[in-house]
Amino acid sequence: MSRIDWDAATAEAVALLREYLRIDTSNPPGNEALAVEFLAGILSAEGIAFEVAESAPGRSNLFARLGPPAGGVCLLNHTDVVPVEREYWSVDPFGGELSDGMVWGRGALDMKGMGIFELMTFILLKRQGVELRESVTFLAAADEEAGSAFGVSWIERHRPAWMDTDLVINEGAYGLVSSRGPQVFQVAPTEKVPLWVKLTVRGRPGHGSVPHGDNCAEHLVQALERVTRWQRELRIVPIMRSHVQAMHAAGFSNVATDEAALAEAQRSPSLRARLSNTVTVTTIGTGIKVNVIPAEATATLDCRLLPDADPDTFLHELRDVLDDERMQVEVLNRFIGAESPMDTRFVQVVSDVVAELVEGAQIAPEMTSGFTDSRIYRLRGIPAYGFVPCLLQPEELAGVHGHNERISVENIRLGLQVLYEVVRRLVSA
Amino acid sequence: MIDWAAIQREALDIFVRYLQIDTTNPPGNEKPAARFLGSLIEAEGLETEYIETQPNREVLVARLRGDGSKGGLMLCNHTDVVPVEARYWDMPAFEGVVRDGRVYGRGAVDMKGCGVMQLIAFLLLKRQGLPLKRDVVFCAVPDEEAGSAWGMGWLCKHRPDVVDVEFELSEGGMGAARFAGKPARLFSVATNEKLAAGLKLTAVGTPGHGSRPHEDNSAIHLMRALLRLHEWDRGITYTPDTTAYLERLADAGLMPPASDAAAVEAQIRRSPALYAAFVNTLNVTMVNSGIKVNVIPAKSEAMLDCRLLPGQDREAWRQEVIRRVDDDRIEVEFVTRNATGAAPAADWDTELFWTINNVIKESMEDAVVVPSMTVGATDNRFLRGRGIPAYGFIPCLLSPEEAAGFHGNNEFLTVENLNMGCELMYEVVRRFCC
Repeated sequence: MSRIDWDAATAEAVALLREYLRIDTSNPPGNEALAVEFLAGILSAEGIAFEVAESAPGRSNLFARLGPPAGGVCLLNHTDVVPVEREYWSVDPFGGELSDGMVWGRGALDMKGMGIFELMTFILLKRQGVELRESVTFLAAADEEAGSAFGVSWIERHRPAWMDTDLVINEGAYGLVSSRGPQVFQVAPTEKVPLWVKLTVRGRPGHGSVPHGDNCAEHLVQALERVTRWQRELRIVPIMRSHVQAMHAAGFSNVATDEAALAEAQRSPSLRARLSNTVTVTTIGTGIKVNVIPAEATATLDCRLLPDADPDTFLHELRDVLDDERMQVEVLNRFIGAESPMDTRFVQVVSDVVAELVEGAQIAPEMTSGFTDSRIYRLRGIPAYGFVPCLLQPEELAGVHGHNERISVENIRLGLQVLYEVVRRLVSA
Repeated sequence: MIDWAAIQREALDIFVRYLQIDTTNPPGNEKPAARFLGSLIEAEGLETEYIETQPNREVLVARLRGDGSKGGLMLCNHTDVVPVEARYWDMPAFEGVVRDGRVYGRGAVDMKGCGVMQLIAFLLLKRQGLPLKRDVVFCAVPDEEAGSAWGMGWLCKHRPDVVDVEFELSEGGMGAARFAGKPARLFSVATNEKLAAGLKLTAVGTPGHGSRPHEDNSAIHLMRALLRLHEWDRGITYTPDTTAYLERLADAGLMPPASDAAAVEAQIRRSPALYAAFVNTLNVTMVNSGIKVNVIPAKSEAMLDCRLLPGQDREAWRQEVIRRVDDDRIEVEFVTRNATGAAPAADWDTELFWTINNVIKESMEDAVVVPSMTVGATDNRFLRGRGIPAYGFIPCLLSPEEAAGFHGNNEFLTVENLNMGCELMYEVVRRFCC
């Protein structure tokens, strides 16, 4: 077995990522079949068999397996990306630009970059002729960003064999680097539980020149404003206690105790999101014309609950805060929380590899504040972890669902090397 | 003699067919409406002119010649209608459904019904062959509901010869079957109107993932601003016109006397439609924020329908709103950049006003006729700007339910009102022009 030329592998990964980012898979509508076509072409060239399954017109999922026919490690990634607000980008979000040592584009971090690490890991295992004691699967799923109905949820019903795995490595936690030096690779065994809510209020339409006091747009604005002032309880669940302590031990923060964490959460939206149920007003829509009082106004709330919170209690509290009988509260999407164990061989291997490859780096457990496809595996009892082995600066993290999303070539090299080594150790004889 | 029963059947038939022409603006497509009305005029052997302002959008003009001893009277109506929220209608909005003595359809009161009354008056003058002192100009224009740039605004700019008249009648005032909760026969002749000064508020924040809320969410900024505007009491302002209006109402026993200022103000505040004539209004009509349920929106926008009292300056109003919002993350700009300044009020004490007054009083002894201010904008502002007394006058007695049809759901006009409107309109025009 020859040694891997990591310079060449990195160059190859950069080229592939740039091409991948040029494929616009904004969801909605998704168009993930274009991404699948791209990935399929690469696997074909390597002589690796794969399967493609269409879940809706223009939307498909891709699966490939190396080694034994069941179990093993699944390298899971999603091919869709969230939409962009183009006017705020300084580069073409679908241009795959390489400049200043960075590859730019929607999906660079979430999660086409990780998808390329997984693809390259998969391909390198084949090229290196690694003898596989355990199976490795590569699964590229659609529709993660809109709730997975045409991705992993569809696969669960229509291609259950694709989910035959003992372990899932997926997005869900990035590594972090502080300007002061400390470096931490995070591993997420659980995540916040989304509860998406649509609010609808009806009023009396009429001519815009006569405000009549029953304007649904105003009812909605007033209720939403109450929601934004709603103070919710801060609470430290066990995985977050471990996280806080590990980050402190790694020299990443000076917050060590529960009390300090609760105080820090008042200042830090990111920590607050992991210590409380959150509510974000994400869309408001009403009106057909500037001089017509609308008959109906709607808004959506992106609520994320702690894994052990009761959604019905939360909804009850939300109704109290909205404090408007006219308001219809409709649940668009509700999930169930689940957690994978941290005392597993996977976590140990991650810890070993990180210690060997990145001097001075530590690992820390984390709770994903977003949601990922991992939840579907966890609910089936399959351990699934968020583990994107890059070391990101805070400003790079802002690109996730934000503007000017990018990943450094240095991180592509690091991610590729760490992921390959972790997977190699888990599956090789 | 006029066979009014036959005329009523004719008017109803025309009205139903007119309502079946979908002239929702945007986009308008008013040409078929202009051609429909024009064909009825041509059938009487009269000439018509169609003036295209945009593809598929036309002005219809027809003229009955007077002897030139007096200036012309224009009967002006708009052919476009506002959009429909079909799911809130109990019947199709473009079929002209006649049910229980009511004619339902978008435009029934705003303003195809009045257009039919003007048309019937015009056709009857021709059929009766009466000698006219004044020219009578029938003019049906597009685009009133979207600012008139391709309707009356265009006509005044490009065809001033058409609007060279001494008086004009259009929408803006009408009869009300109830006033301040009491039965009444109150006819408003609109001599003045408010100035549209719609504003767009744009809030900019920081985008991000919906799972990690932060305080710089543009939707939150916008909501707080809208709330501050909602809680803003701008008081009550009396103008010379509205003062005269209140005096005439008080004389008719429909308002407390001016000496009891508190009672007057209380009654004004009880009625949204009345209140709107005494305040710069501000109405949130559109809000648009966000692209996806899990993305914090970087930009949120709201449109406010604002209407200013006569004499108020648009820019001063914008500055006032900016001060009230008090948040420099929020941009406040006009919805329409090229809006006109305040229009001068037309003089109400004219031969036309008194003709209307007399015709109505002779028809209904207990009727009250008042000069008034329209709270919405009409095409009359263009003509008033040219010094022409342009009056808003729909000669019907609308119930509150009927009046709610303006830009509302299940818009209708009763057959009774259509008949009354045709007769009164004819009589006003005949008496004024013969």
